[in-house]
Amino acid sequence: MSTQKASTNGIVITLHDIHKTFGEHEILKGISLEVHQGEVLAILGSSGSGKTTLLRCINALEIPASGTVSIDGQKIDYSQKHSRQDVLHLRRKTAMVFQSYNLFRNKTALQNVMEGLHVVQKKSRDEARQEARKALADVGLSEFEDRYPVQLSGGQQQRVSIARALALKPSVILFDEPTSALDPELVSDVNEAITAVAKTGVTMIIVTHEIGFARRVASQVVFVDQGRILERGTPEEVIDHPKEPRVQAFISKLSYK
Amino acid sequence: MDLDYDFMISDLPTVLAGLPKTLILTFWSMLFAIAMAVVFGGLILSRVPILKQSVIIINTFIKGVPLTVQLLFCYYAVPYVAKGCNGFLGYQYNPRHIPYFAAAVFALAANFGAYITDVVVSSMRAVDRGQYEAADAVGMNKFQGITHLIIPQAAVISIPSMTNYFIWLLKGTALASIVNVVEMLTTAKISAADGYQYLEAYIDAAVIYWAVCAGIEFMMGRFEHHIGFFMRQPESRVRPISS
Repeated sequence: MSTQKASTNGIVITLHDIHKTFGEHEILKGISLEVHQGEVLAILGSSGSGKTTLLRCINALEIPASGTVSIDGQKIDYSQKHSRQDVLHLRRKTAMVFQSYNLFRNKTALQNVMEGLHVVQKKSRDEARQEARKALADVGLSEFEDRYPVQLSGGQQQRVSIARALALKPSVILFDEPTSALDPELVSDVNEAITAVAKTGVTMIIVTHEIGFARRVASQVVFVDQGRILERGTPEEVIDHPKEPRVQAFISKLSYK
Repeated sequence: MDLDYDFMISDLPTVLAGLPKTLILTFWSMLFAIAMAVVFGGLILSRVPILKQSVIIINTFIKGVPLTVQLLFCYYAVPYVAKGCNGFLGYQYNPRHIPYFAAAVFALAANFGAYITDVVVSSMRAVDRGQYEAADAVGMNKFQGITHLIIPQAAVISIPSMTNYFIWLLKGTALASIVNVVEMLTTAKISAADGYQYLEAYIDAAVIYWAVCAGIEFMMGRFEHHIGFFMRQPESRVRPISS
């Protein structure tokens, strides 16, 4: 519950030497990261580089083989035994926006946002409803609160999903390629909503293919390649003047589209 | 061949009077079958060691033996079981009133419970993986996610299969006529015995079975359409409003 801001020099998230294997295949080969309070970190990389896996390791949707994840004072060392409760406590520091929205299909837009507040954070229905309405208003969907996901367009669903994440008031919001499943004309709405969220000072980590969007919204960028961080820095450094040839090739290929 | 149409019409109400018994037998059997399926399905899904394997073995056994054999087994076993239960929970064993109805419910429920277990398991697995992940991501524990999100969706997914088994079970109760339970088919048989008009009586029964089953199928279809609209693909129902 208590989100002590700036607990350790304003660092909210620390990943240390994260390894992850699927069978024989090593997806993450020792990744370390620090994210400061209010920072927007963009994770770039080609398909199969491990960037989505990295994001899912942060909220333990994938359990790393080894390494430590610490979010806002909640820490798990995966080389040691950890309980289901530890995972739950860590996860509750985070919220996630999925590539395929994953709204609860049996709930209306409003109920989708309320669910975590009421069921997980144990707020009263009235309080949860009030906060959920505010979050829906923030993404411009107040008039759609009684609609079910099937009655909403992809862009609207993704904005509800952003509201759902936002309402939880997590220490960090994780975005897993939030616009890659959308029709092109709906992308800008969602990007605008994300930018608006970023401006409120919420810490965010965004996995994305959209270099232009990352350039605008991110304060830090890391480039992941073959399970390692190849380059990191500000958007100017990594996107405008990449040092690594691999990164240069990637950026130039995408910007010619 | 001449059918006695007058008898066929006049016998209809008599046969129809057996319908409540058939429906009651169906209802209790379905209730216990679903209860069994939920418990067994839960054990399979939660992968409780030993219990999971036991459930699978029990179910293959039940499915591998004809329903008729199970009904006959229960029919001949029930006097012994009833005798053994004498005095238990205030039950008084009476050799003149062997609980054949309960025996038929037991056999039908066990048989259909084994099949419906598969419906429970497959419906739960049919819920989109992303729903489980979304539940995790908002910080729900397993129990919260399953009760608030997964079960309500799985229940809707299971409606068509459940309806099929319900109809199959309703017709299956006709088999209970061989084990001394007076349901609709037995009622038809008794009514025909005087004038040996079996063909007419059975046609009456067939028409009633068909009407009831068709009615149930139609109603459940409407019910599913109404309650399960949120599970459908968006194109099939509402045109999304572009933002």
